[in-house]
Amino acid sequence: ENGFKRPAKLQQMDSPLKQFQEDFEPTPLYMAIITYINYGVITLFGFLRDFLRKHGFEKNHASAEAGDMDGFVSLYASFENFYTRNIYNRLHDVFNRPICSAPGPVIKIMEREFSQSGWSYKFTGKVLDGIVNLGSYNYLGFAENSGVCAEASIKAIQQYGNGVCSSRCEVGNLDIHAELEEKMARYLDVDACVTFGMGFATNSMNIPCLVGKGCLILSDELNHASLVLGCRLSGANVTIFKHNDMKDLELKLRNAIVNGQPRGYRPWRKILIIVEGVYSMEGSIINLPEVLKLKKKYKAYVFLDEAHSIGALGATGRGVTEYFGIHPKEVDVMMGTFTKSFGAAGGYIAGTKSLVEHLRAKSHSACYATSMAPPVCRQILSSLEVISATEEGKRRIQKLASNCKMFRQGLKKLGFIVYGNDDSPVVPALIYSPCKVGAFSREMLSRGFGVVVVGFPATPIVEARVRFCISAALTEKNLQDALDAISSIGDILQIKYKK
Amino acid sequence: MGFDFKLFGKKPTSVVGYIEWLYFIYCITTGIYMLDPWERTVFNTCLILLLSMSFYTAYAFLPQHIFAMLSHFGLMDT
Repeated sequence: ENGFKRPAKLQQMDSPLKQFQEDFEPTPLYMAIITYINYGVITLFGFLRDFLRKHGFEKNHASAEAGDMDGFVSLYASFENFYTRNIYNRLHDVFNRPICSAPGPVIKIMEREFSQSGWSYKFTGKVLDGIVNLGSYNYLGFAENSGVCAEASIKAIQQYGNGVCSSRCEVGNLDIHAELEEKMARYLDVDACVTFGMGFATNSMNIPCLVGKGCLILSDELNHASLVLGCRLSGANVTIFKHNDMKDLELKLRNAIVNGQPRGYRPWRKILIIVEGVYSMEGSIINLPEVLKLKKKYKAYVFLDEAHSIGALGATGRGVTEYFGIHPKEVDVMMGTFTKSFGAAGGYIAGTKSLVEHLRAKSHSACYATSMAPPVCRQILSSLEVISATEEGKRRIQKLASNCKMFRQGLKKLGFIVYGNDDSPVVPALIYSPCKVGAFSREMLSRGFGVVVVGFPATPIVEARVRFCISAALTEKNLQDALDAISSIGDILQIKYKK
Repeated sequence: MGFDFKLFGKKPTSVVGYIEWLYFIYCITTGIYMLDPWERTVFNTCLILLLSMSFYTAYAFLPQHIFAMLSHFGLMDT
């Protein structure tokens, strides 16, 4: 199977395979001040505009209730809150860009023309062609509309149709689902695996099946919204530890075990540590050997969310466990999604057979949600086949690794502040100020590159960033052109903070 | 588009282009890049008013204040 070597159980624990090195450079003081000044000025003018809108000096474009709803309590507190009205709308052309092609290495973006202050837009009819895609989660390049996977999906539609029209518990359990689960379990080298139609629902609906009241969840600071929602729905107590900080985790574990439950000091029924393989906003990789050491010492369980790392890390793409040389049976619950590296949709949870049988019986997502559509299953099966058993898969994984290295080193040499681990496929470059972030995205689009910029609610207020997602489908030339464009924009906007 | 700054192809070298680029950086640093043109005018007018009033006050009153301070600390004959 593509030169895959199974590591020995347990032996690697004392000496992790790679020297763990991540850097998160602190914000330069002058940039923090400038960012606060920016937000201050925009907020001041936001208040002015709200005042003008409220007293009728200016037309209010925000959504409002229809005229004949007198006497009704308003359905929403405010249809668009202050932040959306006054800050987000002004940069509207930078977010939610509509694409009209497959999200491969080169995409087509529909051009939009915005009205004053970004309240509304209309399509000009022009389509910008040949935009290099640096934003899609297309790590191994399977987001293509032709090729082996697409042909197999077409055959699956001809055999099964598109809809399943039932849930897994009733008539929606197809043989293609059983085949997918068996192949996925063999790929990950665990006992069994269960798949769900939606990645977000995999986390939020299954964590309540594993923990309940009287249990403790230790979750990382920067966990994804799906994990946070799952923790909240479960009803367990949640403690947050600092991002990737093993000393903090150990301290919180010890406190939890010594003190027990909040009132009454009874021992916890179960302790579950929830971490992610690769964090998408920071580009950091979890320090898995240390987490497993703590797990064994304090007898807790580990839930590993490999949404961004399955297919992208490791010599044969088997995720963060292979990256560290750890046997996957060490991790109790391995969760992942098919959205990023496999070019499909959905999620899976893998582990021991008893865990998987329990989830099949008890999970809301398994009982009530419609099962995965057959063409999507076939896409995953064919991409899995390509990754694990062909030369093409090996080539893609190596191309991804070399692209990551080249792009990250290139950005660092230009003088940008880049967060995270050198091996992660997500490369966030910090820009700090909201004005610079908007100008950066517009300049990149005018030069033919589509990037994703993230600002306040998703990141801390001072740390707006541009997040590049490297893909195996991007050629060296694409990346070199991108680096040249980024360098020239960096000179214009003065965002090369390391120089 | 909703924004009205022209996009820079590269860092400009001509004098006029350089001054335009300096104004662009000033707008980005103070945050008025994101505002509408009339809001930018309001902000610039207020800023110029504030600065001109400060300069006039300094021009008119600073020499008296400096003389008064120096004679109070005995560094100068009154």
